[in-house]
Amino acid sequence: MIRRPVSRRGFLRGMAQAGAALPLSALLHRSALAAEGGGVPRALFVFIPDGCAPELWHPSGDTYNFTLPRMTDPLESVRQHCVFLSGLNMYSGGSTHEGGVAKVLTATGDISMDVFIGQYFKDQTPHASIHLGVASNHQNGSGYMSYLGSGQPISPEDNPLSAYERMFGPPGGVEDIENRRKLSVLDAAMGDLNTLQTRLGQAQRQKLELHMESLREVENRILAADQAGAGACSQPDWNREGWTIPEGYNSYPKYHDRDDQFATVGKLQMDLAVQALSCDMTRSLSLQWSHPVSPTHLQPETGASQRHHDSSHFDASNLASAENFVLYKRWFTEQFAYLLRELDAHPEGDGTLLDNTVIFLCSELGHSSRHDHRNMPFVLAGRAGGLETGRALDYSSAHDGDGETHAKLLVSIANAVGIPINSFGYTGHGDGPLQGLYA
Amino acid sequence: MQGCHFNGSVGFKGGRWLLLFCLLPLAVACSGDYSGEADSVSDVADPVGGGTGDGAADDGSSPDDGGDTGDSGTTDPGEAGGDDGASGAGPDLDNGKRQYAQHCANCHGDRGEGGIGPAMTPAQCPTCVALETLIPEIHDNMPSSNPSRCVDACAEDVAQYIWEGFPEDTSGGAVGDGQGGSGSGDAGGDAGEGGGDAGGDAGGEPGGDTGSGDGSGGGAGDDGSGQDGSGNDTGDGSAGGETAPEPTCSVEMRFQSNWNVGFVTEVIIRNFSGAPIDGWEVAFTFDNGQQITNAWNTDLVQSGAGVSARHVDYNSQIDDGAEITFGFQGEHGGTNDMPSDVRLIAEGCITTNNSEEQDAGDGGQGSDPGDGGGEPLACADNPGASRVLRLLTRREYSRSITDLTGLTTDFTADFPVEARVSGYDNNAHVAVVTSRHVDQYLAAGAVVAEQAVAQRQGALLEGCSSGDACLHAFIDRFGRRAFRRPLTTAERDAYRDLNRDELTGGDFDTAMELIIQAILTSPNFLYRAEIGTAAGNGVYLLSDYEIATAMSYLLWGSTPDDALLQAAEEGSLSTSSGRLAQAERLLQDARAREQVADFAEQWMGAYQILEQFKDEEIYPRFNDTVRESMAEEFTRFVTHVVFDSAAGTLDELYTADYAFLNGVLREFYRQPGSTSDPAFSQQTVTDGTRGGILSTGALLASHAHSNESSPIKRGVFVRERLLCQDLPDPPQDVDTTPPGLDPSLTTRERFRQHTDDPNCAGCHQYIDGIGFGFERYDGVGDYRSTENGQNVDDSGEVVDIEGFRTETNDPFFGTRQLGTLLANSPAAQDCAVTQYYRYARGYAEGEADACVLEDLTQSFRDNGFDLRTMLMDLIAHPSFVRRTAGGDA
Repeated sequence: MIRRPVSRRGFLRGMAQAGAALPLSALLHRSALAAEGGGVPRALFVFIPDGCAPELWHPSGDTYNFTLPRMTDPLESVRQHCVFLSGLNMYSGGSTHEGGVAKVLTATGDISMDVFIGQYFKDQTPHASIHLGVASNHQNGSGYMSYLGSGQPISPEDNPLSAYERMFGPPGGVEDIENRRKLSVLDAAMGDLNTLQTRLGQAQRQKLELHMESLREVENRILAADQAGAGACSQPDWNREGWTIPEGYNSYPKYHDRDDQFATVGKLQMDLAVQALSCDMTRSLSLQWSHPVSPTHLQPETGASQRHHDSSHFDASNLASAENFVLYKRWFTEQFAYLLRELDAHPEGDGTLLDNTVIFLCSELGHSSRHDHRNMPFVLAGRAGGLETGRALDYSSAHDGDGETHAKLLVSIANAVGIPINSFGYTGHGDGPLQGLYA
Repeated sequence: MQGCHFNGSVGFKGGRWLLLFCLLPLAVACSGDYSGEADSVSDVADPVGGGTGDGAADDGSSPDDGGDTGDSGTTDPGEAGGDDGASGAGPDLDNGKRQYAQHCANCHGDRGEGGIGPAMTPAQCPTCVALETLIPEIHDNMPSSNPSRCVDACAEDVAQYIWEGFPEDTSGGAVGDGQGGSGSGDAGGDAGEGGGDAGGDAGGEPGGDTGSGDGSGGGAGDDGSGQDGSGNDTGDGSAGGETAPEPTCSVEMRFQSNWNVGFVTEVIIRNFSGAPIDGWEVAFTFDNGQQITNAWNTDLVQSGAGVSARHVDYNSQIDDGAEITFGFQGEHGGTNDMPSDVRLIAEGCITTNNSEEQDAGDGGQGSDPGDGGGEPLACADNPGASRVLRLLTRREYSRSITDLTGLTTDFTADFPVEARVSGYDNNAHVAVVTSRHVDQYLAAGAVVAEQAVAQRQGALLEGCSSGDACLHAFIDRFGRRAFRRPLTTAERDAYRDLNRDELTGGDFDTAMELIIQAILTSPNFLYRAEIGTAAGNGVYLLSDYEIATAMSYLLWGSTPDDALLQAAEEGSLSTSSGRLAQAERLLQDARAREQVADFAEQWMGAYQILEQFKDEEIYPRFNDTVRESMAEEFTRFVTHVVFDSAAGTLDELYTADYAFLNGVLREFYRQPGSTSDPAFSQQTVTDGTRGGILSTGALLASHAHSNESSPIKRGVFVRERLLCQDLPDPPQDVDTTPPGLDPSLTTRERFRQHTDDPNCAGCHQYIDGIGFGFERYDGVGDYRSTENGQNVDDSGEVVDIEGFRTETNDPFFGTRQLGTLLANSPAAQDCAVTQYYRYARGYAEGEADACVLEDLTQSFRDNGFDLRTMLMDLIAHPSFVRRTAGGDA
């Protein structure tokens, strides 16, 4: 298949059409990868809520000799895998938490980068993209970061057991009678969908095209008689503690407060994310910790006396007042360090999974008290695409000292996994990738 | 009342009236808590802003998309370039764009469509008509918070960028690059429209047609509501430029007789199109409250002022060169103007406006095609809603399963959570099926099928338990309930075919399970269709089965029952009276009460009571029992007012002097009576601390923090949810840190900074004054007369209750008086209708809905704000069964 840069919409349409012609042979790639330990590039997006105190987040010093302040110094042990980015702004679009989360992965375009990458590679993996969350729907009044289309957010899966089942549940193969029945159900649904299509105009047809793609993805997964691959990727160690979902966790009643499960679910989701990438279940995975305006309270884990969002409203003129917020950010960066270590612990070819993955740590605000979208707390990690890690890069002098647009960073992430685009969303500060990331 | 008009008011951005013209500070410290935890009822931007609906989804980024109509004016390189002869290489468009995004867009919208600041149309922005006036305006006065921020070259650049219609590609300097469809990056139809406005202005000759034509038209058309309407310029370019097509049909309406209180009217339709017409409809609007009492040769429906007359069997066909006549008789109150908007809807028919004589009294908004697209249109022709497939919400899925199978378990716990739009979980555009949906539908379908066969087989099969005939009968019956219409032959065959040996081994139960799972995974079950069939003029009429489905999901949140499907089969739902008969029946059912409660919970955001954390150290009296009691109190109160009360009006909802309490709440609210009785009962509240929806615990606690009350959340709640006046996001770079808890001050004192600080007051004058009136209720809805040892001042004020710059101020004390203010406010009265409309339609209204909403709000007024009638009016209205192609042509 020939790939060339096209408009994103045309691209998605093209992918939809291509998808129709792609049988399970494409999925054989998965076991091949497992066998060879090949190095296909993957992308991982990690969201933590409510911005930062820039003075306590961004490193000081120069490109190679820099010091991490208190919010990020838990990343000291993995700094050789990271690029710390300063001076990136999110322009245009809405303001405050809601506006920020809507554009952090879209740069005000229709589709988010995690979905975009997943769609691009969807013929080659069982899941186009996977969207995990940690209490990301609970009390979420502020929105989501992943967008399938204009104004069509994807709400993450907050139940790790359900997410695991989707990925590592019963194996595919038409030998199994249950699978044949499922296929017949999907077949009937596709037949009905095709009939429905003919009655509709363009806009609703697009809705049904998305639906059809989803049916095909599930069908392909079932069709792929990939016993070997599934075997190699079975996960006996996952959830060794035997966590079970508390009653009412996913819906009322009687679960107003997810805090006691937050760290446990977070670890399960991180482990699952690593396994999913390791098994090439998808090329694009997002993990959303809580959500903007996070009500989370992690007192035992962090010692913070306030809830997360409350702590983010520190007195901007008195950094000492940010102490609770610092405790939270430290906890989240510790989790991120764990995630990087786990990725690095999975050998692939001559290196590790981390070498073949680009990881984007992001949030929806820059300065949490000011609710701005400037000097965003972004960290890039992993070495997919040849990212030169172990550096701190400051873009604040770009554009006569205003800083650089984060849209270019999104372009760079796409480029890192081999998608040759030159712009993504907002282009008010020019197009192209972010300079200086890759050798 | 005048006929229905699409007057394209600029203020109707994103389908909501924008409230404010506030001069926003860009870099000041406004402490506040606008984005309070989990209280923002509007999670994602409404993707289907105004007007043409689906056009909003078009980002124009693909060359073949072409861009939506609103954009075309912005990007015509010839016009943009031509106007700009004086600019040469001077202004830097790129910089203009950047500066605009940073300093202007927040108030004026991304593309000048307006927002809290005026739209960049001649009517709202007189200085926008020429660069010579626009540059000094920006230089001297903008941004209003700090005019020195953009002067000289900056002002020139920004002005040029605005003047050229917000070009997407600014890299080529001042001259447009000729790329079509450059609307990318703007989410939402409002942006597109705004672009159209501005583009039309920029594209025209400076001060030319848009300037003079619209100026006068807009002025004359202004209805004085304070919303500064006018601005019909979206349609200008095309309307003025098109030559009218040759008519192929005509419709003539004339009085046969007309006396002091009555009249007889005759209508003649002539077809000279060269081909026969099959099926027709004539729609019009009465201007003087006329009421039709009798009609012949037509199937006629009157709803409020709107009338729709459709063919009957024997005259549906009109051959070429033929004419048909129908008539009606009616009453009037002394004035009997001939309707000025008589429209013929029939496939293949083009008519001219054949009633020019009636235009004289039309107040300048009339139908001159060159004057701004304000041609009067009857609601029946313009139902507002587009054809759409609406994915079942988790709640709807769950209730449908219960009604289909008799199983009462909820199977949707792992389904993806809906993203709310305008506070509602049923937005039709947002809901799309991801692969995770498919996985969960498959999984849930399998469990439902297994349990249904194991536990409910007898009820699901009618007197048989094996054999093909039994299975086939089940497919027909269950399929009809699940798809809400009879199966087609092809569908029936396909589902029968699932009973193949290699799948079921010929086992009856296995086949039944498989068929149930397949039907529940079908798009015909998962979407409820509002597609209809073409009826000409871009209008689609819903089938009777689609109407039945729309009715049952609106009134029950579930699938139609057999009786409703029977009514559909008999074809009795296409008439208003047929629908009302069924709707009255549906309202008798308990599901209707649950559904009205669901609407109220989403409208008022009260559902949050069940999910919000509250700090137990600060609020030791609050616990899960109180929480659940409050949720039930809210439900009982609302359903009592709507279903059980003698009055049942909006006024009662806001001003009732009673509450529904159980023992838990009597104790929590400190009300007399048993504190141990678990049963709820209606109780008059004599101490004035409860009564009316505004003092229900669920509402008060939902709009508060975990550890304190929130005057701002509550003020925003009243503005956005009860008055339908949307507030802007706080501007970027504003420090919105709320004041810290201070044991020596009341909440009011801590938050008063907003209204004292002139930088914040521009917006917060509309918010805080309302919120302070709630201060006698703490963060969990507990009543308090003192806080931190001081008396709580519950005086409040509503500034400009009817909308921005109406220059009014209504002081009040406490929620009871606020309730009275709201009950008597036209803005709040209309808003109740608007909110129900959003809930019913699955989108936030846009300009295209203005006509229907005008009808519905008028009817609400005419019926004394009776809430039950409000539910019925929407169903009775002709628009309930009509859809437009919208962006879905």
